[in-house]
Amino acid sequence: MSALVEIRDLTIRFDATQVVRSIDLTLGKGGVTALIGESGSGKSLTALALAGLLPNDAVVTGDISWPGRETAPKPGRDIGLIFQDPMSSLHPILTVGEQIAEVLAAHRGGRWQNYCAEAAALLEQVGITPGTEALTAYPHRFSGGMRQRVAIAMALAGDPGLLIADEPTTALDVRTQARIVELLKSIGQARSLTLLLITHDLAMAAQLAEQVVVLYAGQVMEAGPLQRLLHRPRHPYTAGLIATSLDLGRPRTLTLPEIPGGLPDPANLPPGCPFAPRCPKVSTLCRQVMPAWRGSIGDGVACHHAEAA
Amino acid sequence: MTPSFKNDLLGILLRRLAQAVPVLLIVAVGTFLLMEAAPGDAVDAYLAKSGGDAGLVAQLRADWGLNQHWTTRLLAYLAGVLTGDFGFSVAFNRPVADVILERAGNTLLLTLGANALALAIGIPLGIFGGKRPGSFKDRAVLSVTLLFYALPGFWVGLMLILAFAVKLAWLPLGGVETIASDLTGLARILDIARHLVLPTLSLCLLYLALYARMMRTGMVEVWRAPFIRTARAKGIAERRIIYRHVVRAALLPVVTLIGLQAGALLGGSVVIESVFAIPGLGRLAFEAVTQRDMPLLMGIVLANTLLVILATLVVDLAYRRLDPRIGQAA
Amino acid sequence: MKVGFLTGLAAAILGILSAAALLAPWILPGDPLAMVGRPLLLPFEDWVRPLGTDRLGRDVLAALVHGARVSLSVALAAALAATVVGSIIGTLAGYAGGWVDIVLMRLADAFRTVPNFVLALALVSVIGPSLSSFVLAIGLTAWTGPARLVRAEVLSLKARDFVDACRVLGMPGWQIALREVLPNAVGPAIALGAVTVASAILVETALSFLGLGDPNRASWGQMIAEGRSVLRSNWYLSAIPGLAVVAAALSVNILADALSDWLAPRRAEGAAE
Repeated sequence: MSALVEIRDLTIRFDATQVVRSIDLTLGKGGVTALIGESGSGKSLTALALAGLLPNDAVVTGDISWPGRETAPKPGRDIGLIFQDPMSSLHPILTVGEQIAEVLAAHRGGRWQNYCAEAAALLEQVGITPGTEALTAYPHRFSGGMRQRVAIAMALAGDPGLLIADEPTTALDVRTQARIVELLKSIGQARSLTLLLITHDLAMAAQLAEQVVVLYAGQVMEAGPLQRLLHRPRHPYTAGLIATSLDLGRPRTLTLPEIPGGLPDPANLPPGCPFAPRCPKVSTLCRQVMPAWRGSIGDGVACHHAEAA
Repeated sequence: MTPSFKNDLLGILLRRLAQAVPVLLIVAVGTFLLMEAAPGDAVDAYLAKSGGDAGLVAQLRADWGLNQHWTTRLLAYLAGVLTGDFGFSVAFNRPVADVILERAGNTLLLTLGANALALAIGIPLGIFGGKRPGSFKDRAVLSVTLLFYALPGFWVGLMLILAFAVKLAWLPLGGVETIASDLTGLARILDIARHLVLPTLSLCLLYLALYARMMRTGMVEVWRAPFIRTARAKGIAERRIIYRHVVRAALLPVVTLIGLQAGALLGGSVVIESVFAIPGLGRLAFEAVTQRDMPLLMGIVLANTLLVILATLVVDLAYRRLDPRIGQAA
Repeated sequence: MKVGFLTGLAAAILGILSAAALLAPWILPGDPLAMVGRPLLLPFEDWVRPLGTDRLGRDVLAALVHGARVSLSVALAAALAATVVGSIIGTLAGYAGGWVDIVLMRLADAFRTVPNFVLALALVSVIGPSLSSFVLAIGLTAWTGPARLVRAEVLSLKARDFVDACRVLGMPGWQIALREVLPNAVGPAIALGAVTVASAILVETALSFLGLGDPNRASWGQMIAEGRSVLRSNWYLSAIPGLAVVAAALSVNILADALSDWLAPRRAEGAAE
């Protein structure tokens, strides 16, 4: 699979605090990659950096290259983004039709009113029918799941090659979650999209992803094909995530499994492995020395105690 | 209009009226008691002005009904109001309603003009600063509006008179129109317009700053909203984001603010009218107070209160039309 | 606390004005309204009267400095009164709720629908010209702002745990309201209070201009009104006190901005995680 984008040694800093430290990531063309991590792990920022949408006060170093592209990709046209809360990420006083059509107008020229038919077609593709009726509606009229469909339609309008979905189902109820995941899957396949899924929900990711990258405190802990990670996790954090993800069909126990401790403060990271304070396999080495990456980009682990591949 | 929308309207109307009644009562009784508490009454003021015989005091008091107990007078007045009789102005020797209607036009012309000008300049000014908060343009807007807040309108008026009426003689010194000029039609309109330029300018500065700041603050809030991040993620041009996404969302609270200014429409021009010798309601209120003319003052205050209630209602309805999230059956 | 250049300048100007106001009886003793020289002396003509005299021969500088006393003290007192009274009423309305709230809010509505200036005018006219009537009049027009702000804060604070804790301890309602809740709710009202000082200066000046002030005291508004009759020839007699008003009000506004920034620092813009 050829690479759509290669991220090397990405770091993101706000003032003196480093929130993302040295991430290497490759997205294969047409593939589905899941970026897993708890909130605060730097996963959303990495995605924003990819799309070039970081706020002005972010200091970014590293290299993001797009082999096979001559010009830098433009958000909306080459990269489509879907955010977490569809109610607040849709404009409250513009019609759904305008919010979709304006993407078409922005990248193809002319007034948004000229693109109503296409907007209606997009709405039908994401499962909102009849599309023409929905055009004149306002977002507050829709349910959460439908709003997220609108958001997906907006992201697809520019016919992008890459779709980034940042926690697309977290704000939705379980049944709707499943339907949105289905939609993403079918859309991705129909349009041969490269999909980057950002989530803390391993179970949700398992339904879509082929490759998984596990992030903790702004660093990659483990990466590899989904099945291998699920069945033979090499990093204790990955193992912990799997254990605490109830939907993955684990046998029910009386006590809820959890990863003890809390997230580290990015301004005050201890030396050594950032997961050390919470790791069941921790040793003195872990607390002092940052584990090196063992393996290749997108397939490996950073742990002193990782099981051999 | 769907039936539910109509019921909605009726409901709002009734609710507003219900809220208005106690307010009107408090205002009426309050004003009345205030005049009662004042040293001297209308007779004293009249005699002081006209230099009449002190022996007339008892006679006048009886004639004007001022020798009755205050509760009687209050109830009589309120009863009169309910039948549309706003009383008789002893200071002007004419029915209150006539006096007020005569002068209301001048004041409304002045204050509505000032508000219109303030909106026309203030909103774009607010957008000018709000499209990039923290930028040099923004800080300039903030500084200028801060200065306008500190300018006393009447002093600005005086300085403008000095510059344009006295030194340069481009514009008239005061009044609403050239006296005894007998102009009609367009010529009259232009004459009035010439007279109102300076007072309107003096009055509009404060409102200008207010509207500009409100617009800017609104925009600053909207810039932080997630749906603006979405707009950027869609690759929408910055100009469209500013005007179609941010301004559109930030305009709504400004509408409410405009309505709130209705309270100042009738009385807010007292000093300006004084400086420019404009025969309006502001000066009328001043005279009513100094002449202890209770019915006249009450008339003005009640008219103002009604105007405020009306304006609040209109703003409410306008807001419901502009914001698609309200007033529609889900 | 970072102090910007503008804030520092404003503080300096206000400091000078306040100092002048406080020290007036000592640096420029005597009655500022006494006729001390030839009328309509031009500024800088005679160094004993650096700003000249008005048409009655009164010292402009003396009147200016003594006028600062009047304006600043009235404005400060009125804003303080309005903030204190408004905060108390707002707390009572927000905490008690029910019909107490309704009555108080209708009262506030009534005060808000009446044009502020006319009310102040009427009050001063009725009570008689004096500093205290000014303070009362301006205060009565300004209390609704802080009242509404504090009421809103109290409504959200009412649901907090510490209020329940006080109730469990057996504290009477009014004590909880005034001793525990109010101090936490006044923040926005204080910021508004600072702005109120500036608008109080403007109202006081306007009332004095209309001739409603104490005729035995020099005030900026009165000076502006006096200068009107010689506007054509001696326009500075009206211009100078006006500039003083602008300087005072502007400085107060700048400091009020700085104060509200300090009380509620703007949140840093951070990227969503």
